[in-house]
Amino acid sequence: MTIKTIIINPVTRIEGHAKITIHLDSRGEVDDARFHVVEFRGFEKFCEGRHFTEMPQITPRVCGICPVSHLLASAKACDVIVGREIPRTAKMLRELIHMGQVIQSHALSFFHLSAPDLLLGYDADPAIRNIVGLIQLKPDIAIKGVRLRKFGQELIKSVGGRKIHADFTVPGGVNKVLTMAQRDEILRGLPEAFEHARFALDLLKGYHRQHLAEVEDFANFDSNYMGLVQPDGALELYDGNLRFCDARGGIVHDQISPAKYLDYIS
Amino acid sequence: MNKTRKTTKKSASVSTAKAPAKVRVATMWLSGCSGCHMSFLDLDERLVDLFKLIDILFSPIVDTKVKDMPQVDVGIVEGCVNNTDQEHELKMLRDRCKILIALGDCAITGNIPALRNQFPLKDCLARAYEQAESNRISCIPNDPVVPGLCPKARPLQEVVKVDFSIPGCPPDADVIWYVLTELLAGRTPQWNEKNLRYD
Amino acid sequence: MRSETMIATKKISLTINGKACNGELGQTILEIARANGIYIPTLCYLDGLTAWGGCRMCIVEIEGSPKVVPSCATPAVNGSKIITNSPRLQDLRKATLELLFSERNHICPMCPYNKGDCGLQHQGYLHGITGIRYQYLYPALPVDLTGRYFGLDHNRCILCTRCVRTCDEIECVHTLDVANRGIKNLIIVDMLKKFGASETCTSCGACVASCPTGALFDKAAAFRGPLASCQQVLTTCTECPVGCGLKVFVKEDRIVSVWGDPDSPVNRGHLCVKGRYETWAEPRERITQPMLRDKNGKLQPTTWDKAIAAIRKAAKDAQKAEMAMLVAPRVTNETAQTIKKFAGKIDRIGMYVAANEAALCNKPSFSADALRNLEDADAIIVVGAQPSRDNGVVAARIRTTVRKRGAKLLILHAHKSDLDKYANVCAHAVSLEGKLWDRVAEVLEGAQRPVLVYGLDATTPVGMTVMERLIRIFENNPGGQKLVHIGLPVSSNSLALAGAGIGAIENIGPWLDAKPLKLLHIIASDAPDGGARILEEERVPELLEQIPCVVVQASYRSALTEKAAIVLPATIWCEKSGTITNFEGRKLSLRPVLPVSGEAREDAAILENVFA
Repeated sequence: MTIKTIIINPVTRIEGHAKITIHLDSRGEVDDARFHVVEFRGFEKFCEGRHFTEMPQITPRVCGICPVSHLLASAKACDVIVGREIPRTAKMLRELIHMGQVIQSHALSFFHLSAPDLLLGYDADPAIRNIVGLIQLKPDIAIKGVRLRKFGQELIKSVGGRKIHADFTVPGGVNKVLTMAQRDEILRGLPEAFEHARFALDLLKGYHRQHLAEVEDFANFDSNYMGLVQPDGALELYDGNLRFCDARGGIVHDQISPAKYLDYIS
Repeated sequence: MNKTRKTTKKSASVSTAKAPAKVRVATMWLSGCSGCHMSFLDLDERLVDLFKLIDILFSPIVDTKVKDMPQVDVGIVEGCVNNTDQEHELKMLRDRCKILIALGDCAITGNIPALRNQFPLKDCLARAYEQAESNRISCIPNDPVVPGLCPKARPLQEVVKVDFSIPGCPPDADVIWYVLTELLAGRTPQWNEKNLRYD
Repeated sequence: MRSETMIATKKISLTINGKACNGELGQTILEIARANGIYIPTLCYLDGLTAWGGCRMCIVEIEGSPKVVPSCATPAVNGSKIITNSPRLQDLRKATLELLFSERNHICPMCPYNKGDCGLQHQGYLHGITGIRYQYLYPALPVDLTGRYFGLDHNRCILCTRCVRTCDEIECVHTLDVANRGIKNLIIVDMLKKFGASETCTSCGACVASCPTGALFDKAAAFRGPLASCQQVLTTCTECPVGCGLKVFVKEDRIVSVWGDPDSPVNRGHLCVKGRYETWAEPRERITQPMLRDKNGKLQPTTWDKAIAAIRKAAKDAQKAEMAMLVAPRVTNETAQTIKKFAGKIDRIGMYVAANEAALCNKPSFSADALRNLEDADAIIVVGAQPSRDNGVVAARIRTTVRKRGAKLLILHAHKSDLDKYANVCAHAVSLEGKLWDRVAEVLEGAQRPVLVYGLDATTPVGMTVMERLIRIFENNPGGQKLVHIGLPVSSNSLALAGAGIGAIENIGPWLDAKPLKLLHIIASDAPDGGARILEEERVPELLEQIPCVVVQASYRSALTEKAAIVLPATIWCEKSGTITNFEGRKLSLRPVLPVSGEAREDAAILENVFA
């Protein structure tokens, strides 16, 4: 029975809106802990009746951090509706823009949202333990994250025309070409991007080594994992089949068509 | 806008650093997608310069909790007002800031989240929580901590007074930069067909 | 749609924003301002349509009057002083725009016209609108997606009625109108139907082109690219002998949309469903490589060299008398010249046309200025033609002349069509007995500028009789008005090809059968049906089976290409250059819009490869 409730409002540095309530019993032990999503917009309903070509423009507005993922998922649905196999170039461009998406959103997640805890410490003053504080206090490190995210965003803009909420796809393909000059620009930015990504990995690995016990214990629990893979099991970002793994990495289900996802997840 | 700050003339250019008081800023995302905040972060290296002039004291990207919402000079809000928590927090911010900026189309027109205004709210909830193809257990969330939904999703100006609006979905980082630097310099940003966009 | 006859006009002059401007009595303030390079914002005004004056964007101030007036609908008065831009006008225009934004759901982010193609958005930007002073109403409004090529989203409609006026004055079928009153106003199709169920809509798409917002939108064009950022290439439609001017929007080597060319003297920017949509928005299986049959008899892609080699081998095994060529009646004039170059190498060349069209081609004659004559007519007689089905823009012209200019309409010896309801006399099956002809004579009495539009079925015995009777009516007419004849084929270049010596075949079966063939070369070119039409003629399918080598030169796969031994890929309209001659005798140019797809080649080039 809940005697005291701790409310965390809001949960910050996440991509969305949430509260956490921790319910303590009479001994001060945790009786229950809940994660509440406190936003509801109604996309499932208000899209009804609209022309399907608009869906790749509506669904990215679910999230401005990963709009490209929504755009591409919607585009794939549009392809199925018109019964079109998209040209090879279009497929590669969609893969490329999704790589940009993964780069920028992972950079954001690591540098802008999580790194302040790692670099300034969990017990640092909350007033500075954030990206603003990081930029003000450790600009040399913060700028790496900023530039890695920028690389991803610029890649999205080159391929899709705009950094956030690009209109890039049509049923059966894409509506922009990538010029040689744009491609070369992307290639020029790669070495620095690699460097920043390695820095982030080194930072994280170093943190793990120094705080092994905490890492093992804090917010650590067994769960299954799911991702898209290529036929040979390599990571796939745009169009692949589903693989489900258990907590130890053993494969539970493999090469499942995404169209069948409801048979596996509810 | 520039009546309350005596140091405006001195801080007309970004580089004069005689340590005038930093402008205190709060940002909020209500019922939006956070794309406007991401566009703000697309200022990239310019953030380093910006954070020499402003402090962000309350924001989804910092850790201040609602109950500790501070007094600020400028409030920047993206998203429209969709539930009672958002309405309450927006009003709190309006009380605590001198200038309130509506950032992005959702905050100004309602935009895509306001599409639900065309449907009965119960139909929207049912479609998501009871009739969705992935629902095994149908249950509309009813924990007391979860805020109630307002009858309609509303743009900011139908709840509080808004001092300045930046349209776009999202507005381009260059436009955000232009508006912020103009305001910091004590000038009123000008809109024309070159920098305005609604898409 | 005014005729270009010269009317003596009185000159007037006025001052606009302090600038002296000249104009003519009868012109509106807006017309004179535009002629003098002065910008006045508009939304509901569209050149070519009756001005309505309802949007109140074009308001101006006139010295001496406390009112503001809509300049598009206000005749200019000599000596008046006009202000087109003042703080008062600015604020009124802003208020108008803000009311429009508040009234419905104008959500730019999800609209296909959101990058510079929307008049409402443009006005918002011009007036620096970043927010509105009114409450948003968020009405629940329907979206009609039942039309094949376009949709109507009422959320984006500003009730400017450009679509209503376009449908009434240009296509002239009056499918669209406005229902209810005030805030409940709604653009409706027929009597509250949807486009898909409309009995009057011709799918010409003129309404979509006239819509300033994304309310009426093209489905195939959606998100292919902003029109504002596209190149515009002018070419000619080859779907029928009217030869409408096309303005094709292109971006990065793809078609974004097809509109009419407003400067074409033929169609003045108007199109029918064939030109606007069937040219590019229909999914068809394009042939991009030559094809040969493999040992299992299946058509497989191959190289040009191999395909040409196979044809030459078949030609070597045949005598000249055993080779023939069938030509689609849509190939360019230049292709015809190449065909004639090689005519000596084969026994016979014939053009396959529509049923009864051969007779029109026997003594091919062009009807100079036909469209202008139609517009000026005070009596139009349609014999044996189906312009609504076959020549949409001609049908539109007939409708405007009849409905808007009061011309009489007589329809004789033709199938049912939408024109029937406007006709003073309508006889699908013509009786040669008295009563009908008394009525005809009665209706035609006093006609000063009668026009006779005759189509394919006018060449049948009944059709010829009807024509003779009509001609006699005017010969016997004491006034002696000249009856203007307009011959209306259905194939886009059949008259010119016949004139160039490629005879039209009356019946393909007997023509094929005349002498046994070993090689038949069929130029289907870019006919949407891939030439399959000829298979509907009597005995043609079995006669084709008997020919050892049937070569089909086509752009699209069809039942005909499936019968070919060798298939050669031809370019389509948007890849072609050359000319066709329309039914008026105008030589009209085709210009390439896109690079050639795959291994396709121009018809003439293919013939050079094969026969040279």
